[in-house]
Amino acid sequence: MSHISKIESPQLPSFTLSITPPSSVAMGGTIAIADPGLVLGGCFRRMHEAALADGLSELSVDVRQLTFVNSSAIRLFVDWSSWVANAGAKGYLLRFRTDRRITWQRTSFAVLQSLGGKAIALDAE
Amino acid sequence: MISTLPSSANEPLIFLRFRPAWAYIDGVREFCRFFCQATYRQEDIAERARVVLQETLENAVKYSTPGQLSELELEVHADKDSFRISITSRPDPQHLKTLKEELSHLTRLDPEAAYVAAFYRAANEPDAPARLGLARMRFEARFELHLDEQADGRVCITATGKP
Amino acid sequence: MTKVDAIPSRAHAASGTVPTQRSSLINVTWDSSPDVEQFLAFISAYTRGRFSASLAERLTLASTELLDNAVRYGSLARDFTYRLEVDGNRAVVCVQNTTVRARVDMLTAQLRRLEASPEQVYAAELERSMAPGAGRRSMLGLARICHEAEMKLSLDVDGNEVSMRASCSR
Repeated sequence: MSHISKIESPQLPSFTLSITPPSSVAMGGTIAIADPGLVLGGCFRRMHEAALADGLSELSVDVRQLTFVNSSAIRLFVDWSSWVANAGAKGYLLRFRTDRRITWQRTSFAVLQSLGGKAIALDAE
Repeated sequence: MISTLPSSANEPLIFLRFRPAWAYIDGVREFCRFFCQATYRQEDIAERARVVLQETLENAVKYSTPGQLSELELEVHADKDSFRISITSRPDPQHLKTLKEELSHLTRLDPEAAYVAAFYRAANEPDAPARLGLARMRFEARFELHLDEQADGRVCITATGKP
Repeated sequence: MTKVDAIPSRAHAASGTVPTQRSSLINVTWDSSPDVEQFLAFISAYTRGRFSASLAERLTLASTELLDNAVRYGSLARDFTYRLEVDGNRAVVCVQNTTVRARVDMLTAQLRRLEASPEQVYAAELERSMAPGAGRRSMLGLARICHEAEMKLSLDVDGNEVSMRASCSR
């Protein structure tokens, strides 16, 4: 069983996380809680480490149903992009599937891609 | 429709007063967003307002000084030319100092450049607060920000955007 | 003094005068018929967070009935203002809009009846509302505010502009 398939979804009333092994994650809902890092930061980190442990060449994260987030939640994606960028040759390609019509996705992920360089790919639909 | 509204220079369309508790943020944000959408009949301004409301309310709630005098006041003024959201709060002095420095720095930069810079700072300082919210309001929501210090020690942050 | 009343208004703070006992909590102006359901959900949540459960329920009921009447029977200019405020030890809900003269006269007469015998008016309006083809129930709403929510109603009229207030002790 892959490491990523063992990851449990966090319990957040307005947020959904579904993992489709071997290499797809989908997020939905909203993240507007006081400190998303406390609830979700660990989960994002576990997904990153699972992708490394599974030796994935690419992890796809579909955020098209994640309609609204606060800036503290955007920070989680910044952190994830940094981890991937710093993993170097041992890392994987982090591919975000986004919805161009959703403003926070349109503005944030373009910046993330410039931050993460070749480690980040963006499919904006 | 817009021309029948009170002038934005005078009475606000919305005035709300509440304790600085996180529990109020979702309800206030969504009511104001819905009001904005109904007023302008445009999803764009409603979504932009939602971002501004979330970020300003979060800051106000997180950094209010405790005590009886720390209620928040939210005002929304709207007319066909501008949309203004003001939050008055009583922040702790250290946060106020940081906020003033941050605003002063931000408003010297182009909104997109400031947003990119905030991302790079967050990436390079993983243990420090991100402080993405102010830059986000300027770039993503396309609102400009202004801070007023009042005689009673309270602070009013005003975000102004064009519909 | 309650913690709400202890907060000075901006004007008073700037001028250094004594703070007013009246404190506005919510003030919203619409330029067209509001989505009452959405707003009332907000009012319900807000009052529950701020007041006792019992008072929150009364204020929500008054808000519901006053707004429903204003939307249903307004308005010449299609504008509405809703206010929730604290005035000393009283909580006040006020809805303001413009309407036709005939409606103003009807409201004035109804309030006089309610003041004279609230329980009888309530019973009569309840029965009337249950009759087949009863249709409108505007007067039941006012009767509910008096009888169920135990709030005092008052009406201010300025030409075609009407302000209906419901108030009670906190």
